[in-house]
This record gives sequence, C-alpha cells and structure tokens, in this order.
Amino acid sequence: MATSGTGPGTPRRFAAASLWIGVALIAISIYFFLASVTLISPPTQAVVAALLSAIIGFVMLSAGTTLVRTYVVARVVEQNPK
Amino acid sequence: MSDREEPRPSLVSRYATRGALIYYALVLPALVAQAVFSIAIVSTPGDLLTRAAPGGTLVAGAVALFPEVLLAASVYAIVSFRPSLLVALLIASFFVAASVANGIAFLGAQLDLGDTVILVVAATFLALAGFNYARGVKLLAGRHPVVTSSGPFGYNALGLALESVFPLAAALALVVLVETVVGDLGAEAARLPAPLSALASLYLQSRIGIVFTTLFVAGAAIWVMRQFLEPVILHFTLNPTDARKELLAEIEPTTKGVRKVARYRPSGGLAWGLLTVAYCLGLIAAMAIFLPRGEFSRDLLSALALHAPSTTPLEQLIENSVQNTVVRINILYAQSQDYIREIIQLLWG
Repeated sequence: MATSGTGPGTPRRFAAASLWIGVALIAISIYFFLASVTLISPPTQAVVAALLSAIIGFVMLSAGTTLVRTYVVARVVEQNPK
Repeated sequence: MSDREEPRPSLVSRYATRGALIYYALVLPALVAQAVFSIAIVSTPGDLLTRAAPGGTLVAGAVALFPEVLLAASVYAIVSFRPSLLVALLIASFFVAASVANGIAFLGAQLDLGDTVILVVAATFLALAGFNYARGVKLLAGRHPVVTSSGPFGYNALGLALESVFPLAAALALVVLVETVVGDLGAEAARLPAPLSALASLYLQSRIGIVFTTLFVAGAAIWVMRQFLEPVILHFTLNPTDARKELLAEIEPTTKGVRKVARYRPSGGLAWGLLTVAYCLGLIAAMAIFLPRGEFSRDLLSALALHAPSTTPLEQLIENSVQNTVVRINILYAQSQDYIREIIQLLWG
C-alpha cells in the first residue's frame, strides 16, 4: 500500500494512484505508437493520421513518465524523513 | 612540511603510461573522424563561405586552417579530460561536413550519410568509453582495482550487461532505427496531400533536410529511451538528499509565482505620474537640443499663440523625403502582394 507512517491515523502522504495513472498513460502512449506504425504501413498508409497518433503518443509518454518520476522522488523523500 | 619531497613525475611518465595509451587508442577514432570531416569541408570546391563573404581571401585562409584548429581543440579536450567538448566538436564537424561537403571519403572509399552516422556513433561511444576508463585510472592512482566479486554469477553477468552490453546495444539499435525511419520517410512523404508531398519530398532530397531529419529522429528516439529509463534509474539510485533537491526544483516555479502574487501591492499611481512627467521632460529636452537654433522656441510660441507655424526649408525637405518614402513603401507592398499571389498560384493552382 502506498502510504507512509506507522499508525492507522497517519494521513496518506503519497498516493499509489499517481504511479498507476502514470503507468496507464505510458501503456496508452505505447498503443498510440503502435497505432502510428499500423497507420503508416500498407494497405492503410494514412500519413497524417499516423503523425497525429505519434504526437499523441509523445505527449502521453511525457505525462506518464513525469507522474512516475514524481512518484519515485516523493516516495524516497517520504520514506526518509529528516 | 617534510624535508623529503617526492620527485615530481616527468611529462613522459605521466602521459605515456599503459593506461594513457589505452585511453589514447579509445579516443583515436573520434580524432580520425574529425580529420575526415574537416578534410571533406576544406576540399569542397566553391565553398559557400568563400563565395558569400566580402573578404574571400581571408575566409579561404581561415577555412584552410580549419582542420588544424579542430584537431588542436580536440587534443586539448583529450588532455584536459573534457568529453563533452570532444563530442560537441565531432558532431559539429559532422554536421558541417554533411551540409557543405560534396562527398566524404575515408581511405579512398566514399561514405554516404548512413556510413558517416555509424562512424560518428561508434567514435562517440568509444571516446566516452575512453574517458570513462581514464577517469577510473585517475581515481585508482596506481592502485590495483578489485575486479572479482563474491556474489552470484547472475548478478555479475547482469552488472556486466548493464555496464557494457546494454549501452552498446542501445547505440546500435539507435543507429538501425534512425536509418530505417529516415529511409522510409522519403516514401511516406510522397503520400501526403499536395502541395505538402512536393514540399516534403524536395526537403528530404536536400542534404540539409536529411541532416535535420536524421538529427530530429535521433533526438526523438533518445528522448523516448530517456523517458523510459529515467524513472527506473531514479528508483534504484536516488538518495533522500537528492530527492529533496529534485522536489524543491520541481515546485520552485510554482512557489516563485505564489510569492510574487503574495508580495504584490497596488501602487497609488504616483510612480506612473512621475514617469509620465519625466518622459515629457525628456522629449522637450531632446527637441530643444536637436532642433535647429531658435526653431523650438518659435514653434512653441506659435503653438501657444494658436498660429500655424511657418514651414522652414529644412522642414519642407524632411516632409518631401518622408512623402517619397511613403510612396516607395506603398510600391514595395504592392509588389510583395503580387509575389505572394504568384507563390499561392504555384502551390495550389
């Protein structure tokens, strides 16, 4: 469970939801990258749609990895309080 | 201070050790690649710089010295342990050679763009490995490194793979990916709707276009690799102190904005009034200084007496020249409109 603290009343400091949302965004970005390759391959060959799909993939990958990165950094800080 | 001071090592003993020779051998391909690129740049006839510059002879002399200057800077980077400088010089020389030179030859064989990219990647990888090795040699300072491990064989194999095999495999995969994507882009550009297909095809046929596209695709691939690897590496290597610094750096823009909003106090408008008065005084002083003698006071008195000021010959001359300039600008604007219409007709019919 992604909570820190010892007692049952300890507030949740960092949420595992950010990790799972980040992972989900990365998975969706991979789907869009694959869709881009599919769209540009014969017999479809929709170049503009493939480019748009690749751009959506880049944006989602950036958002997902930023969330995961922030989760990792926050987890290290919360597990080692001063 | 001790009386017995250790003798200072000689230059040869410092720079001609076994470790140093291995370091030189690893960075040598980068030097060779730079020499190949700089010779290709210099040997290109009718160089753009030489033709474009007003002092053609001076520029030609400077271009002729380009290989020596480049090699001297690279040797400085090697001796002073500056890997970023060496890699930057290598990539810059590759970029200029691919853009300007008619052909790049190595040992009599002509290299195409794919070959030169492979040469650059391999030389960069070996140079970085050489700097890494030299850093290890400097840190050891003559001591023997402990290279044996008592851990399980699997961990040793994993460590070796992550340290050596993975970067090499990533570099090779990057080269293959970039070459495949850039090669396919030419065919894909032809399927775009007109006139984008013609524009994209022409762009990809030019050398500048190929170089920029290659760099863009390589940059995008490296960015994707970094996005995937960074959280994993952070998870295993981040310590609490660095993590706190990272978090503070992330929220710094927001905190700065909040502090700025919190400190904002609306002024009573006195500052704006003073600024306006200072601006008016500056204008009056400028007119009094730069206008012909007596004209400012005469115009001022005319304005106060509500009489139209009489036009002096100098003012008439300025007015005529301003009117001529306005007419010239109107003609140029009309001509540019015609050019734009022609371009639109060429593109869209």
